[in-house]
Amino acid sequence: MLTLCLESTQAQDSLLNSPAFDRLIVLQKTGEEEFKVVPISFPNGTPPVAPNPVSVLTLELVSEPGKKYEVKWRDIKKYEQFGNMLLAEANEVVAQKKFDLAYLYFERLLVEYPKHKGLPESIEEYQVQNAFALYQQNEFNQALGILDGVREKSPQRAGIDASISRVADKIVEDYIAKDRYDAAFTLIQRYQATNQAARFPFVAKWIKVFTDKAEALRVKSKASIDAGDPRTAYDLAKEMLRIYPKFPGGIEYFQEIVRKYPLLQVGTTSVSTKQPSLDSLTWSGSRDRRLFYRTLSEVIGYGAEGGEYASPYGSLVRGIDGRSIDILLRSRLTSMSGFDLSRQILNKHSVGLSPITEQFRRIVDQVYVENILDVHVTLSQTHIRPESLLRFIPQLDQLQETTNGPYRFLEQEAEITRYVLQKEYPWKQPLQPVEIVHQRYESTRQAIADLRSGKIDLIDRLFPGNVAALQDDESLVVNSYRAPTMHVLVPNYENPYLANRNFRRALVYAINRQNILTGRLLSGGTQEGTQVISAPIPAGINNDDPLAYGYNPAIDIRPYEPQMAVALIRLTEIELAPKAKEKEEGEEAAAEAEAEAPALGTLILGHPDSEISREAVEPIVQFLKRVGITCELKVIDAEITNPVEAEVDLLYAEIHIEEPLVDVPILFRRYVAQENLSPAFRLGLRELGRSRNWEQVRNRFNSVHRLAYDELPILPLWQIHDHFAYSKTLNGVTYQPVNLYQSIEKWETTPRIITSD
Amino acid sequence: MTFRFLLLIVGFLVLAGSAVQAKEPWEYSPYQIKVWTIISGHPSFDASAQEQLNQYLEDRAWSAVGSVWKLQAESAPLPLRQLGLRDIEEINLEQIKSLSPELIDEIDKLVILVVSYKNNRTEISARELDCRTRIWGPKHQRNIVQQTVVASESFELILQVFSPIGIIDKVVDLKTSVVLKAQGLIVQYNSPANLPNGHVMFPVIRRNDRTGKLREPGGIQLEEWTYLKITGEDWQGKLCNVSSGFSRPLGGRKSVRIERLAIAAKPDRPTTMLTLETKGEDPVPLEGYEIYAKDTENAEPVLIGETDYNGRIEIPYSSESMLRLLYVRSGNNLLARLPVVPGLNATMIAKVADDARRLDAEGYLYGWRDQVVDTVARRQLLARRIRKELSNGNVENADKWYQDFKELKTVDELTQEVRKAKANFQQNDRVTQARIDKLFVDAQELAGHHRDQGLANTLRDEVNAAKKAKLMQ
Repeated sequence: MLTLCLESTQAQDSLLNSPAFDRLIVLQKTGEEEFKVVPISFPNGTPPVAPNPVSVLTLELVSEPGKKYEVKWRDIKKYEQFGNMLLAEANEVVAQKKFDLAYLYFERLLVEYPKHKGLPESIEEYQVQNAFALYQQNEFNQALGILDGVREKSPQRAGIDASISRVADKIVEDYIAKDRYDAAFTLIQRYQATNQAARFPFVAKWIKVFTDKAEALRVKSKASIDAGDPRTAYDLAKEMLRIYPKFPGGIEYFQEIVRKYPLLQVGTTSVSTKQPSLDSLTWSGSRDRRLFYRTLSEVIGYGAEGGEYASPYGSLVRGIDGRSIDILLRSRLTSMSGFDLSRQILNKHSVGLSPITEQFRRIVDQVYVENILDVHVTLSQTHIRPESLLRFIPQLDQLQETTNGPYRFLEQEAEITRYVLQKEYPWKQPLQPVEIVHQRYESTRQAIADLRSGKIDLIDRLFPGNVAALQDDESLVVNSYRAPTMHVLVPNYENPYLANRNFRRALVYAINRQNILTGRLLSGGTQEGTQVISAPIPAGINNDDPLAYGYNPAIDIRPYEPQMAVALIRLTEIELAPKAKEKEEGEEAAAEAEAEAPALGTLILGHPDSEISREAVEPIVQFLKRVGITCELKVIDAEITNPVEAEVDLLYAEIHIEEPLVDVPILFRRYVAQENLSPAFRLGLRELGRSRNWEQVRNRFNSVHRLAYDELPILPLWQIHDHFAYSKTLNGVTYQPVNLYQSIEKWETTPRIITSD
Repeated sequence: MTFRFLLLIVGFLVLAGSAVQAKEPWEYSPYQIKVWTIISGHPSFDASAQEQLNQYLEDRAWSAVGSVWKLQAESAPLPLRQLGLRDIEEINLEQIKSLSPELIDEIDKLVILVVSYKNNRTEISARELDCRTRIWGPKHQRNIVQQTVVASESFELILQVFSPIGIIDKVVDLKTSVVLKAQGLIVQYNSPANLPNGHVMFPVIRRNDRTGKLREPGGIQLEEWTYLKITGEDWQGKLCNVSSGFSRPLGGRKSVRIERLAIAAKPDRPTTMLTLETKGEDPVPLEGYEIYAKDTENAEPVLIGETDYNGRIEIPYSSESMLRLLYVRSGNNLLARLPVVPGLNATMIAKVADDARRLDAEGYLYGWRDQVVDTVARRQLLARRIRKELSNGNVENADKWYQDFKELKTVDELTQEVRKAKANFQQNDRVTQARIDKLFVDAQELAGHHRDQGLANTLRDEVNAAKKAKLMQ
C-alpha cells in the first residue's frame, strides 16, 4: 500500500494522472524551449514526417487555452504526442518493475489510445515481465494465468512456451507436494490437449513421473491379488487412478479389480452399529440389520393390504382364511429342510426367535412337513399377516457365526466402519459389493461434496432440507424410502412429572413441532410424507398410502399452545403436591410425601448422534425453556430403548416401522414398561394382535391411536419421508426400498474417478 | 309276666340287635378300605410276594391306624393288571363296576396299588377311588431302590392317597362344620382319618334315589370353586370356613336324599394352570388380566402375574396356606374371586365376564376428561386475555379475542359428544354394562361441575360495555 501510495505520488508527478497534452520543443534564438500544447489531431494520427518547413502549425498552449499560436515547422525541433509519452513512461515503469502502476498506465492507454502504435507490444512485454516477477515471488498460478493470456494473443512469441512450461512445472510440483494429483493432472491435461504438448516440456516430465508412480502401484496391486489380498489391491488400484487417471490400461485394470473386489463407499450422518439386534426398531438399526440377517420373511413393499413379503428361502403362501401359512422351501436356495424349520418353530428354547416370533408361536396350532421341504402351519386363530411374524432367522443355532446375513463387521476406526462380505453367504452374487464402508459425516453438505467428487458412492439419508436442491443434480440419483421414519420422545416414568399425563400433554403443547420441522429440518420447504403426527403410528407418504392403515387422520394434531403448557405444568404441580396426597391417601402418606415433594429440576434430553436429531433437539430445548422447563442435552446410543438405563428424562428416538400391525405394539412394549401403560392401552395393543379382518384392524387401530393421542405414553413429534442419493455409476438399487440394503446382492459399482473439490 | 309279653321283649331285643348290626353311626363307623395290588417286573415279585404284601398291608393297617380303618388287601382282578402296569390312571370306574358291580356300594375306599420294577428301580404308585362320591383322587408315586422297603413304602403311599370324607352341616354366614367319618374312633391326632387345622376339603353333592342308592346318571355333583378350610373343632366335628367364587355356596333344596359331603384335598403337584375365558358358547381366552392371591385372612393380596395370550397363568402353592383366594382384576375393576387349592387339579378353567368394553370405555373417558381439562383451561386463558385487553383499553383486540372465544369448544359440546359415544360401548353382559353406564354417568357429573356458560355471557357483556363506552367518548 505504501508502495502504491508512493507510486501514486510519483504518478501525480508523472503523466499518468495528467490531462493529456502534447510536448512541443521549439528552437528559439536563446535555445530550445519546451511548451505544453493542447493535443492536436493530425490527419494520420501522427505529426507529418517531412512537413514543409515554412508551413505553420497552429496550436494552443495548455496554459492558455483558446489562444491560438502559430509556429513554423522549421522552428519545431520535436513534437511529441501525449500517447507516445504516456506509453514511454509506461514502459519505463515496467522496466522499474512497478507492475501495479504500469497496469494503471496501460489501463488509461487502452481507454484513450486503444490503437496506439506499440501499445500491444508494450502490454505484452508488461505481462511477461509481470509474470516473471510473480514467478519469482512464487505466485505461480497468477504468473501462469498471465502467460496463458500472452500466448493466446501471441502464440509465436519467443520463449513463451518455455516460460509457461517452467511456471506450470512449479505449479504441478506444488500440487504434488500437497497430494493434489487431481489438480495437477487437470493442469497437465490442459496443455496436453492443445496438440502442442511437445512445446511444453513439463508435460512430458510429469507424465513420466505419473506413469512411473502409477506403474509401481499397479505392480503392487497385482502382487496383492496374487497374495490373496484383493482389498489392498483395490486400494492400490484406486490410488493408481487417483495419481494418474489416464494411465494407459489403468481404467481397465481398475475395472478388473472392481469386478474382483467391488467396494461400496456409503456416506452417513448417523452412527453405524457393529451389529444391530435383529428386532431393532431404530432407523440406523433397521438400515444395518439387512447386512447381518436374512429372515424367513422380509418386507419388500406395500400393497393394498399392508406389507408384501418375500422369503430368500423359498415361497410363503398364506391361507385364504388367514388360518394357515405354508413355507415352501427351495433346495436351490437353502439346504435347510422342512423338519429343521418345524423343529425350530415348535421349540420354545430355540435361539433366533425374536419377540415377533413369540407371537407367532403362541398362535401355532399344528405344524407338519410334506415332501421334506414344505412346511404347513395351521394357526389357532386368524391372523391378517402371519408372514409378518416369520421375521426370524432359521437355524440360527446351527450357524457358525451369530448372523446369517451377507456381511459381517470388520473394523471400526474413527469415522469409518467396514463390513465385509461373508464367504459362505449362500445368496452371494458375483458383482455385489465385497466390502461396504460407512464413512461418517457431521453434515449432509460435507457428504454431498464427497459424493459429487466421487469419494463416496451413496449417502444413506439426506438431511430433509437438502433433498430438493439435490434433485436437480443430474449426475446423481435421488431416491426415497418407502416407509417414513417417526421421531418421538420417550418419557422416563421414574420422573414423577413425566409419569403424569397432564405434564406429558404440556410438553406437546410447549413444542412448536411444525416450526421445527418446516423451519429447521426442511429449511423452509415442504416434502410429501414429512409431517407432524398425532401419535407414533406411520401416517404414510400420502393419503392413499396403504402403509397408513393404522393412522387416523381425523385425529387432529395438538397445536402449539405454550400458555396451555404452562397451565398444565401448574396443574401437574398441584397434583403432585403433598395436599393432594393427603386427600387421597391420608395424613401419614402426605407427611411422607411432603418430605419427598419433587422439584422439576433440569430435564435431560438424550438423543442419538445423528444430524437430524442434533438439529431437532436444540429448538426443542429452546421451546421448553420458554415455558419454564430447563433442559440439557446428552448424546446416547441410538439403540437404547430405556430412558432409565440411559439416565435421561426424555429419549429422542428415530423409529422405523415395517408392519404397523405387529411393530407398533412392539414399539410401545419395548420403549415403555408395561406397568406404565394403562390397562385400556394394553388391551388395545392385545386386541390388535387378535384382529381377524382388516375392518377389525382399522377399528382397533383407531382405538389405539386415540389412546396414544390421549395418554401420550410416547410423545409424537413428526415423521420424515427419508431420501437417499447415489452416483449414477451405482446400479441395482431398488426404487423406493423399505430399507437401504434391501437388494444389496444386486448392487453393482462401476469405477469412478475422484475429481478435485 | 305273660308268654306273649316275653315274646314281644325277645322280638324287640332281636330287632334291636339287628338294627345295631345293620347301621353304625357315621362318626363311629370305620372306613371299609379295599386295596387292589398289582406287582410285576422283578423275579422276586411272584404270587408269594404278593400274598406277603397283602398281608403286610392288612397287619400294618391294624397296628398303625387302628379301628379307624378296616383294610383288606388282595390282588387286583386280572383284567386290570396290564392297565395298571401301563398307567394307573387308565383304570376307571366302569371297568371296576364291570368286574365287581356291588363292590363300590359296599366299601368306602378302593385303593389301586401298583408296584413295578423297571430301570433298576421300583416304582410304587397308588390312587384312591372314593366310592361314596365316585371321585378318583390324584395319582401319587414313589421310586425306591431297596427292595426291602417296598412293603412299608407301599403302606405309606396308601396313607398318602387316603382322603378322609365328612358330612357337611348347614352353612351359616360362610361357616359350617363337617362330621368326619370315623371321627369318634380317632385316638391319635395324627390318625389318617383326622385333618389338622388349615387343611382344605372340597364339597361334593350326592343325590340318592328312594332306595338310598346313588342316582345315575348325574347323582354326583362337584361344587366348583368352593372349598372348606378347617379352622378348629367342636363336639360335633370340624369347624370350617367356606370359601367360594359364588355368592351362595352349598345352597339348594335340603332333602334326605341329598348328601352334602366333603373330601380332603390332597394336592400332588406344585402348581395349577388357571385359564380365564369369556362366558358363552364361543369362549375367548382373556389375556392381560391381573391375578392377585391372598393366603390368610389378614394378608394383603399380592400380585402373582397376568394371564398370557392363551388366558393362562400358573398358580403356585403357598407355604402359608393350602387354600389361596385369587382376585381377578382388570384395571381397577375386580371381576371375580376364586378360591383355589394349587396342585389339586392340573388345570382349571374360570369363565369370567369380558371386561374389554369397560376398559375401552374407561380409556376413552380418561381421554375425554383430558379434553375437558384442556377446554376449561383454554377458555379461562382466553377470558383472561380478553379482560387484560379491556383493562388496557384495547377494545378492538378484546373483541377480536372474544370472537375467537366464541369459536372455542364448550364443556356442553363435549358432554354431547360423550353421550353419543356411549352407544359405542354397549355390552351384552348386564353387570359389565352397568359398570360402563356408571363410568359415563360419573364423567358427565364431572363435566357438570365445569360448565362455564356464565363466562361466555359475562365476557360478552363486558366487551359490549367497553365498546359502548368507547363510542360515547
